[in-house]
Amino acid sequence: MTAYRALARAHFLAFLRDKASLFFTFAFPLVFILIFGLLFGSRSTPGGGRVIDSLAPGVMAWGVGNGAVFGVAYTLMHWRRNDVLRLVRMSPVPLPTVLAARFAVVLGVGIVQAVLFIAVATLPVFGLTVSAGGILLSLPVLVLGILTFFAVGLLVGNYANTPDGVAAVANCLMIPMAFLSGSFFPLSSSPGWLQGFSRVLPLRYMNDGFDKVLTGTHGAASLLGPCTGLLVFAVIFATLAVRTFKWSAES
Amino acid sequence: MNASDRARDMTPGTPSGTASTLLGQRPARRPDLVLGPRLRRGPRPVHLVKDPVSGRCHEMGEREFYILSHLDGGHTLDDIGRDYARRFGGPLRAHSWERLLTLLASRRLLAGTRPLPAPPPNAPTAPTRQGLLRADLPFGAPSALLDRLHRSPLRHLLTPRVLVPLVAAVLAMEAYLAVRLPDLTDRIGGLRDHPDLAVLAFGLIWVSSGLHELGHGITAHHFGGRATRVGMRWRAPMVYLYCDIEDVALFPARRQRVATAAAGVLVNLVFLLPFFLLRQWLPAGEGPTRDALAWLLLFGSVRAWLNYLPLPRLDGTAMIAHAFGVLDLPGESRRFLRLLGPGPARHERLLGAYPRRLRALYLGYAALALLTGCATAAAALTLVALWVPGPHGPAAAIALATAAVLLAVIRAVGVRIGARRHPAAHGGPAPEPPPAHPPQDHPAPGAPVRLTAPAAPPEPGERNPMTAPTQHPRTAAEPAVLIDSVRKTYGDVHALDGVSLTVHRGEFFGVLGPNGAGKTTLIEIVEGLRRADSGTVRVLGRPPWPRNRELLPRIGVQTQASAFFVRLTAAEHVETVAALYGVGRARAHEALDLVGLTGKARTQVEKLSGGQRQRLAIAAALAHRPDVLFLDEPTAALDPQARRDLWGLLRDLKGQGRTIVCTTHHIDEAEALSDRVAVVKDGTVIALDAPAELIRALGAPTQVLVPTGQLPPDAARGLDGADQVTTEGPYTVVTTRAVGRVLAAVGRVAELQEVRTRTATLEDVYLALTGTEYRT
Repeated sequence: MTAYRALARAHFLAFLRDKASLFFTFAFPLVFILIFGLLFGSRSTPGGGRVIDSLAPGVMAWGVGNGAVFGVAYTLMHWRRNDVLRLVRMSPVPLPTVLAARFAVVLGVGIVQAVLFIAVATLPVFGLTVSAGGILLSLPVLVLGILTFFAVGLLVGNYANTPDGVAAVANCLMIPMAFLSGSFFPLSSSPGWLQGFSRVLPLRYMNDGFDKVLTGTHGAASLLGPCTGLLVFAVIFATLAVRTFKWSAES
Repeated sequence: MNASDRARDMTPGTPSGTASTLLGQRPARRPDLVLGPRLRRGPRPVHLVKDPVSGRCHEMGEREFYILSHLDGGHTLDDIGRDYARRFGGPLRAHSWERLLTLLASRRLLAGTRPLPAPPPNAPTAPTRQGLLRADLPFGAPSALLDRLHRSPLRHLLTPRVLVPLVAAVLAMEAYLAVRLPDLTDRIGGLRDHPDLAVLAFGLIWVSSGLHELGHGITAHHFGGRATRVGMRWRAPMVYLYCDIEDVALFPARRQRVATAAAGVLVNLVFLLPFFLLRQWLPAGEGPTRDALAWLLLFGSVRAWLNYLPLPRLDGTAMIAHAFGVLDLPGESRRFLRLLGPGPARHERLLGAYPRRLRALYLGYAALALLTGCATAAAALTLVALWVPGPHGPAAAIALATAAVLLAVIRAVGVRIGARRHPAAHGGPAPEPPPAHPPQDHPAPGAPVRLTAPAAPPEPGERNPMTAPTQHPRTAAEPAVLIDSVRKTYGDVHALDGVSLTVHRGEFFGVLGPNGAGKTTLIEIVEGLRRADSGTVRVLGRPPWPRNRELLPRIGVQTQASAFFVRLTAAEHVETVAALYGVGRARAHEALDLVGLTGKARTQVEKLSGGQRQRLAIAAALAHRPDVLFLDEPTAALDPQARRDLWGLLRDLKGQGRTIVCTTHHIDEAEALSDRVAVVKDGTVIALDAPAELIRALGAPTQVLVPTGQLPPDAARGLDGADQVTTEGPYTVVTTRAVGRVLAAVGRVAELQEVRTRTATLEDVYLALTGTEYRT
């Protein structure tokens, strides 16, 4: 077993055995789609489409991003708090391996989240329509989005030293971001300056990406903007996260 | 003779004959003390005195403070006493002087006394009770940030030239908003269709709350105070930010104290100014944006001004308290009201102590707070009733009022229960701190030293194999660990003050020392977890800092017993750690077997007992077969049998030629296992040798115990070499420095099988060296 596989296995088992976080990771976005979908899903938007078609991609993006941020930030904080990070620090494993193993698990969880979400949202009660090509095109958005929010989670985990701290910081980041980048309702009716402002929020690009391709309305070319945006954010946040990485709480 | 010596010499029982010499003395207070202005706690005039070194604030009565403030080293006690008598209408007697000076000295307030040390920066603060209805989430100390802000050009903001126009502008804005109030209230409904803008405006209100606290902090900083902590507080049903500021009550000028309390609201309003200008400037076409700004201005202004209300915990109360120079205005006000009600005659007398002005203040504040509270509640409910559309308005208001009353009742009950359960939080006696270590299986302090067995003095020529340094040939050129003149300081604390030592290959090296002696810092530097300030560290010939990936596979570290991968089983944990070193499962299971945990392989780490965790941590450190093994309290929390088992394991490891460096509190452990022991105290190595050598160097006599029936005390006194003879239960105890001769003599009169000897142990050496009480 390589160090990478061992760490990924450790993360995976820890995730699988934590029933509470398992529930929140997978069920939380579904609760959203349940409430909003049943209430407004069948209505039509001013643009002529149905609400579910614009709501589902946004809620999915937020659910996956949120899951990545919280999962990574909690693990990193716990590992530093109970000295597991110190144990890793005393072994010859390079930091990129440690991070890559965590990323692999977050990616896997995110993909399962997305699959589950789409499966539920396409049930006749909610009536989301997706195309096979759309799902395929969503993959790059999903991977880049998870990478970006994985890096955000690392940043949060670097600074927060308590579970409360992680929850406070991550919520303060993710909830306003969800509203301001149009996860729960389209930005089309927002003032122009707010639409402009949303371009500095990574979630906006993930929303955009899913929104464009998931239902099969746009082709691959439409992903250029969202994917570039996500990539830029991923690079920025990952650089910051590695720069501010701390092996132990003090010094 | 300095003041502290004098003070220490003086006890309440000193004969009055010393009074004349006492009164001629000129003690001085510590020059760095910060003396606060005259304030009131209830009816009593008090002063706060801050010790800048320990950070403690002492509250003193007027008389004590008068003396302290006049102890300048120039005036004699006699002079001060005369002024005191004039001021307070009565002289100070000799024994009062003594008591007072003893008190001041014990609080380390006199010049020449050594100040109490400052608490370490990360010392655990008194835990606040957390629960459903109350919780604190501290973000940290803002001092560094405030320092930086105060050095930046921003400091010019705190001059009248800027402040006066700024206040004028803010007031003009508020006046304008008040006049155009309908214009604002009409517009804020539009926000309902724009949750995005509502979230943004709400977020800005929070930013403004943060700046409010920063405003308090920076104003206090400007006047020389210190903001100790900012954070978020949850007191159902309110969530708010807070900023704890020390020293405000020490500011000499009333203006400074009031300004510190007033600054927050000003910051809130200044924060709104640009948004006000933006709204004025925006064309009417920007409907939703202008609506959101209307909401921000309205809500922001109301929230800011509400802070000036004279309700407990709000800035308004703090300003009144500072303006009148009273401490804990709401609490004292309540106490005063209680005295006014029907009660025992004692209340009359207590009431008499309040000057008229203070009576008016406490009564007035209570009335004001009550009125304000009622008015605010009524206004809030009216607003809710008007706001909720349709016929549900009044119902909603009533529901809200009921909820608020219920919450208040729950809180009151909660506080009562809490007071019963946690007396410390309510001024009761502090709970006993938990013992640093759980009780264990070695002798209690003060118990007689162990009889014979492990610590029997090695006979010449028959050296104990455990302590024979020649048993393992030192093959490699480099020592396992080389430490040369290593220093490390944290702030002002010298954690390590020039430590040098060498650990040879194949050696079992013990590190002993009291808590805080620097053991952990030393080991962490050797492990490469910390960087030494100066000096050289080599492990197997290589520097451990920065993270040295060639060296790491050759060392193994037993981490704290909690450092496990969460929710894994014991086997999975060791497998994972082994894989980090590129070692396969077989070796991981071997290590698990070595520490006797195979039976627990499938148990989750969280469910293991203390001793099992300890052994698991060692297994994880062993799996990659390191050359040097660092152990930290390896047998803490083990039962006696497990402890002996682990000792056997450690001896086996040493037998395989591994070097083991072990910090421990257990001196018997160090004695039983170590080839050499280093005793660390105050950041230096005060002794380093084989345990037997250390014991021999102590030169303590040996005791020979013979059953009294075989050797009566009188007969023993005549023995060759006996220094002292006592009895102890059924034994005659012969104390001697010539064991051989005594034993030879005893052998002629008694059965040697029943004779026991008792020698000094490493524990005696340790106690003699560190001079600290040995506690576990």
